[in-house]
Amino acid sequence: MKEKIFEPFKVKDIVFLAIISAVTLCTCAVMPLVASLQTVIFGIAQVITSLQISIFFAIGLMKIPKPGTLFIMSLLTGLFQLLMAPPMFFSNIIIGLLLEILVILIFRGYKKDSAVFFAAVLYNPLSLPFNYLYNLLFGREAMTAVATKAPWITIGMTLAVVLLSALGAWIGIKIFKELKKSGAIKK
Amino acid sequence: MKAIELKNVTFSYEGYEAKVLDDACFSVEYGEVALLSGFSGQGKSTVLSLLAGIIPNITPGDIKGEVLIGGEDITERKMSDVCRKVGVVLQNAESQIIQQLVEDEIAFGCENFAFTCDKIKDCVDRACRQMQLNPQWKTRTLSGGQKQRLITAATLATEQKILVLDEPLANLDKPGAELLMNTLRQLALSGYAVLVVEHRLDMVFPYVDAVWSISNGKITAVKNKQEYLSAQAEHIQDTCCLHKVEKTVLRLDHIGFSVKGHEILQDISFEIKKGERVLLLGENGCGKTTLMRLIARLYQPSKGSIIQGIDAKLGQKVKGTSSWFKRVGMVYQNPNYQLFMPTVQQEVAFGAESAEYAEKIMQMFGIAHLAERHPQSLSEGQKRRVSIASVVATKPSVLLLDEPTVGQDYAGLREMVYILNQLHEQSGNTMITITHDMRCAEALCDRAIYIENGVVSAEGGKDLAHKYFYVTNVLKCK
Amino acid sequence: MSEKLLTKHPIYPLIGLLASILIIIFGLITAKNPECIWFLGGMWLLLLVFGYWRACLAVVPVSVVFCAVFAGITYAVSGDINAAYAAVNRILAVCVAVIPGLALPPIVLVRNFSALNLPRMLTLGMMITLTFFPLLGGEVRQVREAMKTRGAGSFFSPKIFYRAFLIPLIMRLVNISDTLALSVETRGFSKDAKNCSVYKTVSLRVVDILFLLLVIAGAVLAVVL
Repeated sequence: MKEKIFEPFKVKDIVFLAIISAVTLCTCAVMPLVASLQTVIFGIAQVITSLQISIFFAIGLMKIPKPGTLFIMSLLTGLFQLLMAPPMFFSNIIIGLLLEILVILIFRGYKKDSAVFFAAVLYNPLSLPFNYLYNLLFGREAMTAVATKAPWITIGMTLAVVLLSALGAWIGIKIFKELKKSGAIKK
Repeated sequence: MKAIELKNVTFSYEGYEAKVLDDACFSVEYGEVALLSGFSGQGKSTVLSLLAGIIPNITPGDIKGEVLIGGEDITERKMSDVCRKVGVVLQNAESQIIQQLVEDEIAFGCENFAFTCDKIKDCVDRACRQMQLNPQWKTRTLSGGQKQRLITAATLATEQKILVLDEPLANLDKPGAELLMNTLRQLALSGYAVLVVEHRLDMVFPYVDAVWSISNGKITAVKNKQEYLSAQAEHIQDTCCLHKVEKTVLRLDHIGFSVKGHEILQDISFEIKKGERVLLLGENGCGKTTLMRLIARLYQPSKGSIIQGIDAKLGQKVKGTSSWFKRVGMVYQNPNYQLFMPTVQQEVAFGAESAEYAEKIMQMFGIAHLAERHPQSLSEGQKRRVSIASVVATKPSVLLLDEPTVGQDYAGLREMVYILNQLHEQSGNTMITITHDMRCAEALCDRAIYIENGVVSAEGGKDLAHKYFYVTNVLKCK
Repeated sequence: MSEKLLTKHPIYPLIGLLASILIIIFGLITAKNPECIWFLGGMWLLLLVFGYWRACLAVVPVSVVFCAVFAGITYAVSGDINAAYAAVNRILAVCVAVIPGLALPPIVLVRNFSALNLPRMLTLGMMITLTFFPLLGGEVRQVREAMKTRGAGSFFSPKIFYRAFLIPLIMRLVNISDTLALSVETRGFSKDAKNCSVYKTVSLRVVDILFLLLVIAGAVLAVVL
């Protein structure tokens, strides 16, 4: 029997995702403080937001394990980017879509914790290539100088983003499972 | 034809055998304001959910009997159909506002019902007049009381002839509560059916035509309102001996507090002695919780100073430190903010001087049987006990309690008061309490301070608390 | 996003966004050309005239600082004044392109999406995110305060810190979203609703088309002249 992958979203699902997206934005509000350093220290914005994004996205995916959840969260969290930097909003959407496709192909949905972990870990690190492109377009010479003279910064920051995302995804899944097991949260 | 009727309704939630409603019968007529009253956990919210269509559309359960709205059984109807017949105002206004302007928030429901733009404008204007709101106000800058009036206005705008309101007077001061109840009264006179679920019986009684009481799954009509009110207000005796030392632990000197130009506290001055039990009294929005947070050093006063005499080592800093919070225990109104450990036992033990003392506190508070439960899975009343126990386990010299008795039934309330007073006697701590519960207010205080218009309007002993709850407010019901 | 920068009569939101994208792309492509700075200056003046004066003035100090920093780094690295000029143009392109978004009340953007028949559930989600974003900041603050009262606010105990922060916060989020979902549905919102009206809609006006045409004309003039 073919397992049903796509389930319709209810009103309460969308409301929860909107609330989770709003709190993700709140906890990432520190990002503008380091925006000016992005072209000099590659990945700085991702490093300071990886933990929060992966925690809350993991919780969102655990609560509403339906294909489309990650895309909706990326759309809602990207709203402010749409107003401030439209190209970055589109990168949010592309990453959300890409991960949704990968999860459906590899895991057939978010029913398994590994699927949630996969999506939550990769979301923020996947924005690094877009960040690189953006920086290359706008801070060309400065970027090149940093990349050639201190490439270890780029590698180190990339690793830091991945590790922090993994930590956040693990924390989010662990907390959700604890609350669900206790009966405090119902899926 | 009755507006609302429950005919022999029996209900239990999915996965639970216990019947929340057991062959319950209840009705509300058109042209009537009815009150549904009962202690926490008796099933008032369940009745509301049945009438709003939330059960069974969102919350599943086993329903027997008929739930009739305008003569029609709604148990099989979708929520989108039910909400066109019944306007519902839920609790916690702040969590319900999704628009940034008052008029947009009120218009939201009208849009969903496909009213024309002209009609929406009329409905918005009328609802704003009824609730004394300005359509151009930003929702984010509204006070708690204004938010409550806004969500009520949003429901009034959609013109359902049957209204159900869950604790509509929460966060409303006296004038706000009177405005709302008068509006509901006028609507009933023009043919609406209004059902109110409310704890503030003193405020609601002068406006209601019928009173229903829910208890043990049954709903019964109350024939004698005064007798019923007296029974609800049966107050708990204070068994604590007066325990006072003359040393001043806290001195508030001309404290003022404002937020974004809005003055909450104007000029507050009083002293608290070591070993005193002080009750802060006042209407909703008068600044009691704000004052408590200032004392706790969670907020910094806009003017004036708070001098502490608890321990010289704690200094006179404006901001609380970890050492400060070891000596000053603050229990929040919402216990969910303070519970984070995986079991009740670990929650109470966190910060306690020893596991044995934590165990003793758990026994004292009657929560030892919950030791292995996750605190967030408990009922609201149980959570409150656990949060108080957790703070008390650190043996604070000063204990600040913000509404510690919400969610307790009468037996639980009596027990809670006894425990707090027993602890007070044993430790000689200083207690500062905020409570709206007239049954236990006097039992929790030696001294009462009444705050009005940002200043200390009156100070007194238990007599002040008695006068505030029993004389001033209860007299209005006659 | 500061409310002080919002404009009362914004350009049709999607046109504003389109203009932003055009300005960025044009700025990138022609960064090394002398006309670029004239184009960007012209766009800044156009936005000023069309009612975005608060946001226009707000970006000036930020642009000056960023341009100085990037021009300085670029010149120090490459020694080429043309490269420094191109860096300035790219930064200015971003700063000017941000103006329509900075000054747009977010709710107007959501109304625009509603008018374009984007699924109601999505526009509802957007409205909730935008409205609750400042409110949830207050919830985060409350949780942090409560942590302090329990003695769990220290970064040096990360295991306690994360529990004391996340568990109350998540429970509050779940409670808020449950209440909000109920409130929305009891007020008649339904994903299947076929009939609903729109109280305030966003329509395309002549002045919006004029604005877009002027942006395009500016780009063309910059290339031709």
